[in-house]
Amino acid sequence: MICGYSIILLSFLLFLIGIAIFISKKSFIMMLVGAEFSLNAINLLFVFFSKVKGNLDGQIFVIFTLTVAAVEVAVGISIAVLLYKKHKIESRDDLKELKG
Amino acid sequence: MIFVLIFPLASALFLVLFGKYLSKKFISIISPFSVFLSFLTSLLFFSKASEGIVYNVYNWISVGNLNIDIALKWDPLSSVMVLMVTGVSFLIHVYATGYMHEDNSFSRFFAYMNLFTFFMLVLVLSSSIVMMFVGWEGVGLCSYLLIGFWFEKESASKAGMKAFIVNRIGDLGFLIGIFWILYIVRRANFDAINKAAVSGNIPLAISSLIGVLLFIGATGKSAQIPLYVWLPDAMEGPTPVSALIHAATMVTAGVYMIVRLNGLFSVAHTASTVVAIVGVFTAFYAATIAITQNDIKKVLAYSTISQIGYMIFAAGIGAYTAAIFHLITHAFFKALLFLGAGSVIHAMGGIQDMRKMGGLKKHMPITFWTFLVAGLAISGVPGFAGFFSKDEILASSYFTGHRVLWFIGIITALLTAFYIFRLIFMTFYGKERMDDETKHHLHESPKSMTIPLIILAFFAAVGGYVSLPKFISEHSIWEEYLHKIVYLKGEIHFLHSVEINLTLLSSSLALLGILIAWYFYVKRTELPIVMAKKVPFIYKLLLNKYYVDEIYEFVFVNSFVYGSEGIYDWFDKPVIDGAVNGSGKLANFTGKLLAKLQTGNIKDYIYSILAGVVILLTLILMGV
Amino acid sequence: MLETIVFLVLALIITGGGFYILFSKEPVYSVFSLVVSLLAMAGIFALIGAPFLAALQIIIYAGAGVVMIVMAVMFYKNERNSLLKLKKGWFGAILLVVFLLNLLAIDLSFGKMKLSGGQTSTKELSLEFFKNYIYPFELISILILVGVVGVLILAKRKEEE
Repeated sequence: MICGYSIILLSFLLFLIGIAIFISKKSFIMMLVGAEFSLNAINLLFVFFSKVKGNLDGQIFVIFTLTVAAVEVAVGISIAVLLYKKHKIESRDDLKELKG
Repeated sequence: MIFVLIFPLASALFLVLFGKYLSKKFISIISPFSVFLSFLTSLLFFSKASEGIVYNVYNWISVGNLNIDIALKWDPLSSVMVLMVTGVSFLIHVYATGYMHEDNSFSRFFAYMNLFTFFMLVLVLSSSIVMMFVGWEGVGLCSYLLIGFWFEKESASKAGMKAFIVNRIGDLGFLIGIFWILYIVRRANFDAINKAAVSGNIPLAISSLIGVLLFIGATGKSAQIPLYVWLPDAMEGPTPVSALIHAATMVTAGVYMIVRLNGLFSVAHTASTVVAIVGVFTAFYAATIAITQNDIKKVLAYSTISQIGYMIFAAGIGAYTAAIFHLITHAFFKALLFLGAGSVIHAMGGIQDMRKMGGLKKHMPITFWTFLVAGLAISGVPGFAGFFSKDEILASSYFTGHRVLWFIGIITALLTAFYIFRLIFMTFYGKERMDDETKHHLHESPKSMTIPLIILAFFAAVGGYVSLPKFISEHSIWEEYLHKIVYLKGEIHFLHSVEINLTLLSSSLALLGILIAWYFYVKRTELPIVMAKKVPFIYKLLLNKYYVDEIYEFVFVNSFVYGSEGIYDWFDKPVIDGAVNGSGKLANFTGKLLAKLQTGNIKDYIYSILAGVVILLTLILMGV
Repeated sequence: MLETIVFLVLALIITGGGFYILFSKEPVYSVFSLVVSLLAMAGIFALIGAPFLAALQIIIYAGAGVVMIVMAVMFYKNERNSLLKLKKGWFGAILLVVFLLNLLAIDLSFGKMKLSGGQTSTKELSLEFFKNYIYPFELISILILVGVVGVLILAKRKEEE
């Protein structure tokens, strides 16, 4: 049997990696990749706990998360591309107008 | 009866509202006329006064045990006072229409005068000590307004403030006294208070304390030691004001108050003694200053302080009817003296220094003769009003055993005669010391001013016959009329033989005073200057009013001013301003600090989000 | 026994892929690495006993999602990723530490539990879905619709220029 601790550990680790990617990358697309990664890790966790508890709530939720993630990717990419097309913004560092 | 009060008040209000639009002629008619109406009303009701009625007007305060009403007390004392107040006020109003003729603020002046008359009547007609205090404050207010009437002149407005502030100090004593009375007696009206005092319901020590407190109020209002300092400065006001307020009416309010509360004061011997001593001593003290003053109005001001000292003295020794008697006669001759002085000043084009006058007798005959009558009256020359009243006071003091005080009173009478006739001789006799320009303008005053002078002179001459000395007649109309108002009847036994001697003594002293004045100021006019050089220290002391004003300023005013500045520097600025500025600085600082969060850098925002998530997680796990 | 090894391998793949994304300079390579990781994750899903989800993962994520990402990456011309900069990383370090400490507070008894339930069939899932979660299901549909409409609008705006 697969040790439960290791799954939790894995999920946790992947989550942190995902956040690290999100923080460190400058391009919007790469930030999106990081977000995807974290979400993925969370999905794992949900599935695991669903299996442990015995009911299917976790898996149902994973379906929702998947869907939302897909939509988020679509919208995020279109925004990123638009930003590039219209305002020549390539990285998040170019967005400085909220500086106070 | 209430109409006595309403006429002047209505006139005052009317003038306040519409005075700008009215002609001087119109004002000069309605303003005195309203006072005259009051006079008539009080005459009409005069017969009722002997019964001692109380007319209830309005139930003012009804709280628990405390009941204070607005009511008018119409008894022998108040009727006499009201007649004097309205009568003299009327005459002075008429006089003022002439005196103030060229003034721009004509309507304002008469509005204030009417208002003053109203408040004085409130004071006199009040049935309770609280209502009296309302009138007390009201006349104080009007006094301030009228002293500082020519407020463009800095000395005038300062004098007004001085009057009000010094008065206020006295009022503090008065108020504490009132509160204490209310606390013990639980009623405010005079009848109840006096009866309670006489029947011993107020512990003796407390009644003495209350008496002293109330007397402090009286020293403020009636210009006795130590709170007299405002009165000489009050001469900055127009002369009719000085005549009305500072001779006949307001300054006598203190005397009136003591007489009203004679039940309390007869019982509280300590308080009465204090009153008597302060009174006679003030009389002497003021007279010594008066003999050196060169301003005609200042002499009269100190004379007022001195004469009121006599009244206070009488009240202190229990001779209440005598005190009121002198009050009334003094009203006549002092008002006359002031109005006469006003007439002189008017003719001299504003000059008040007697050293610049002289020989006015031929230029202003009416003024001179009326003035002379007043001078004889105040000196106590037999036959004139002042003689009867002053003598009664002196005799009473002698026969009640206050010999030392009697002696001081006698000396003061000598001084009184001296300073008054010094004034008369310097002003009306001798060489004409004024310059030619002024001399050209010398003229007798218009009828509006001289007729009141004549009327007052008449009363100053004959007013005394209502109360003849005991050796002439056992019954005096005056005393019998006013007998009712005294709560603790005490008979003073006058020994006829001694009384005759006393009267002769005071009369001769009066004549002596006149003679000395004549010698110094008519016969050998160089003498005063020589005398002054011989005793420079004393002369300077008297001329400068014993430097009391300077002492007061140094002790009280300076400490207050420096204290305030100190507080401002050490507390106000650092603490209060510091707090206010500090909170501003704090807001500024916090704002700048928080602004650093908004870098515009998305990376930082991401970090903030993450930090928030972590904190939230921590909180949840901690069980919040 | 076998399970454990497979699990370990898959886990390594995913982790390695993640690190590669983190440290790589080339965007396209990173995206490919993402694909691999996602596929591996699908494998783990299957291993645990949620085959349907594994399939979903492959179709949605690895299929559609990544394709889109690759397309977008192709758009940019000069794309050089920056590496993780550790200059001012102290703030992140603190966060990390706090986060880790928090985890100690979690009741980890779950870890001891054995996985139960075997394979979850599609039938079970769909029954659950349509019995208890019908409302969220509809809402999700609307969400997808909104997303589609939004992208269309954004894309259209681009064309009108």
